[in-house]
Amino acid sequence: MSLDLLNEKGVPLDHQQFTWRDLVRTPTSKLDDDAFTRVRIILMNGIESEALRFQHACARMNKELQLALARVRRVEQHQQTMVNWLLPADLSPLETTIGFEQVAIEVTASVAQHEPDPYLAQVFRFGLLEDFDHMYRYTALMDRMMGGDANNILQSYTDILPGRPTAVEHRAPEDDLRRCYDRKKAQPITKLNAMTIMAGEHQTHDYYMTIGPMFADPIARQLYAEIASIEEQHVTQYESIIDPEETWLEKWLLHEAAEIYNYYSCFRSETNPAVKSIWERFVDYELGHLHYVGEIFQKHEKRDLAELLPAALPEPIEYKSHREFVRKTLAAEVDLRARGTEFIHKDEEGADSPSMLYREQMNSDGSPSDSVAAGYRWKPGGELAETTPDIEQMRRQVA
Amino acid sequence: METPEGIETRPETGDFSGLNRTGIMSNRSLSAELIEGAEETLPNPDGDASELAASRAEYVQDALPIGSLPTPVSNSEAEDKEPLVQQGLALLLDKLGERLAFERQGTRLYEAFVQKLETTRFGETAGPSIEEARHICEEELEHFKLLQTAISEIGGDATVQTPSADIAGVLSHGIMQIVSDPRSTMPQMLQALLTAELADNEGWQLLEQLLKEAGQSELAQQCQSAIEQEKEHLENVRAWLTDVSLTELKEMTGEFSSEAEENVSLSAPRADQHAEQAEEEPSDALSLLKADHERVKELFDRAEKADEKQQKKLFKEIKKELERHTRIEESVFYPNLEKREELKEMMLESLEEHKQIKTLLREIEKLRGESEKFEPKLKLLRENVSHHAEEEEEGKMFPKIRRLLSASELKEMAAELETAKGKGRKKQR
Repeated sequence: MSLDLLNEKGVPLDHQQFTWRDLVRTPTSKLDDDAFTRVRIILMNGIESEALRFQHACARMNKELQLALARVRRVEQHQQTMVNWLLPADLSPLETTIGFEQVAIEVTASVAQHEPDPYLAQVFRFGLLEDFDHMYRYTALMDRMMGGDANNILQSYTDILPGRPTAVEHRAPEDDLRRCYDRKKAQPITKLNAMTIMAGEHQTHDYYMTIGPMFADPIARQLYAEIASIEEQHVTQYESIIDPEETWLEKWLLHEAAEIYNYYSCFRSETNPAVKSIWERFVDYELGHLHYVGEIFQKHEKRDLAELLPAALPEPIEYKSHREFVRKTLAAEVDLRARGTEFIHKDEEGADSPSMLYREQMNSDGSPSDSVAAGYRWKPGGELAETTPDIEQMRRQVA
Repeated sequence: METPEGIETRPETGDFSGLNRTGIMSNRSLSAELIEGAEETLPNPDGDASELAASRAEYVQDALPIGSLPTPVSNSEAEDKEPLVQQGLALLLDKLGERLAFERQGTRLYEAFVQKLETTRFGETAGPSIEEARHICEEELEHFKLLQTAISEIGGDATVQTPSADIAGVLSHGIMQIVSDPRSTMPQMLQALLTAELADNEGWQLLEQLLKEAGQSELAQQCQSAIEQEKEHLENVRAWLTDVSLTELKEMTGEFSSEAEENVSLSAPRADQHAEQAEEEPSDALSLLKADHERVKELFDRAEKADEKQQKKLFKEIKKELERHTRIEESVFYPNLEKREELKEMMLESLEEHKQIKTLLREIEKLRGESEKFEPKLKLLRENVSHHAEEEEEGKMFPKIRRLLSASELKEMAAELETAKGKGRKKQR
């Protein structure tokens, strides 16, 4: 059961209306809603943020498209609001950060497993292990700085373990760029994957840059400074796997397709009925956008939509724990580094390679991610907790 | 489309029970994997949190102040003082600025709280009346104005955000978040307000001490009245929170429910006598009477929306409630108030209002069969009862009583009221 992109028309653009009351709804519950509901909200906020970013960039370079872009963008803006405002006020910036990293881990893991291009799948796995490590560092911060337990947010879906250490993720720019897919040969899912993960990382970067200075603790400020820098590297990496030969209109069309794909994936897996109805509404809105843009595309480029878009949407993103896959990847690939567009083993990274030199420079006053998590091991209830649960008993209770 | 396995859907609206997913026991198999993985994996890097302390120490060494103390502005009192005295003044101005910010925030806080109370959701719960909350709000505002004047009098600029005022803002932020969140329950809001009142009390007492120490005896004197009022605020908020929390507990454990009167079908049979004996301790007399008021109000609310037949039935209940309520007030409550000169007049007025209410009740009862006068008389009854309960009692009498009677006197009175009530009260089946 999938969505027929070419024939489902959705809701026409000029019927896509809101009120302020409509936009600002009862938020989800930090305590009671499933963690994946939060994951979906955070991701879709990122997807819409990317829609706006792209549509602004496109407007800077295409006078004749400015009005069409402004019209669609106006709706994207309000969609983003409705989605993002589903997060509740008692979710602190640090807790939200944990949520962001859970998105990066679980969504990238899903994407990596379904990516048909082996090189690109490797790129996704490479980034995955880095975001995975960020989770470990932020968890340590939350525990040691304010006595919080990150698992209250993660709900046991995602592991809290060191990944590829953040301190070694710092690379020279030339080692962040990757090879891109070929727009003419790549499968639709590849293009959707690239856009999705790029959007997620860009949003994450912007978020950390915004909240970093809101922390009083200098270690927290340093940690956010360090990890935000990695997220910028990730944006560079994922941006580079997208074929720059795609035309503006082609990109715009693919954006709308990616939005449909993501809202549809959310709709398929959502367990909160109120949130699910939002996903459903926005699938229809994005279909409306797709066809609005599709007409412009066909007129300007004299190409058929079917050339670019798949007849049916690929398999949706899997919103579930990908623990096994992450652990497997961790065991096999934690020691990978990058040289240019390729991946190498850490032993091959020369002492005077650009990345090593850069890394040494940045870490020369110490590494916040190392200090924060030195000796840190997550336990239920946090590092200070004395009682450890009986795992065997827990397993027996389930059986 | 099917719900993914193992995930419970959350109801769209209304209450949800026991779906808190934050603990490890919410999903034991996932948690077992998580815990095991963490246990078996080495930290990265090795070591402990001591490096953190060293990094932080560096920043503490290099830190600049959050901001500077305010300098006294104009006026001769400040200008021809010695530098040390000027500095002393600056420190006082910092603390006065803190109090000012606190009271200004406090006013807005209680305004937000009053707005919440005015929504129907809180109409039925125990806790403060709107009038009681407004009363605190008004006094916070008075304190703010007092401080504005005081700051100007000793040569300060009352609009400066002093460092301590800044800190107060940061500290209070969470309190406002809780009170303004539509999702907060009464006990949650009261918890936030209690935090505010505790800090408020300490703030005033410290200020008074500092002012005395600095030889500012007049200002110290002005603090006294604020301190008295704040003490009352704190006692009230504490009492409300206790009352509300105990009520919540009792409702949940089924020991007593205000709706469990004989014509509600859902009462579960009482298992044993111990449960009945252990029936709630008498709470504060005023909370008890207030709960009565709420009960009657709810009945009036229902009657307003009901059809003719239901209305007649509800009137029977209202009459019963009002008769019992006035009876226990007259037999227990008013005799106690009569003893105090300050309360006697109010009590006599209330007694007159009771008479009016009873007259109306009799008139309505006689009306059976003549439906067109029924509704207008019921409306009039409602207005009388509302005026009596909310404006007179809760608005004027109760706050005064709280000031004059001790907590133990009020508790004792509650017990007497319960006894008087119990004589007419039907047991749960």
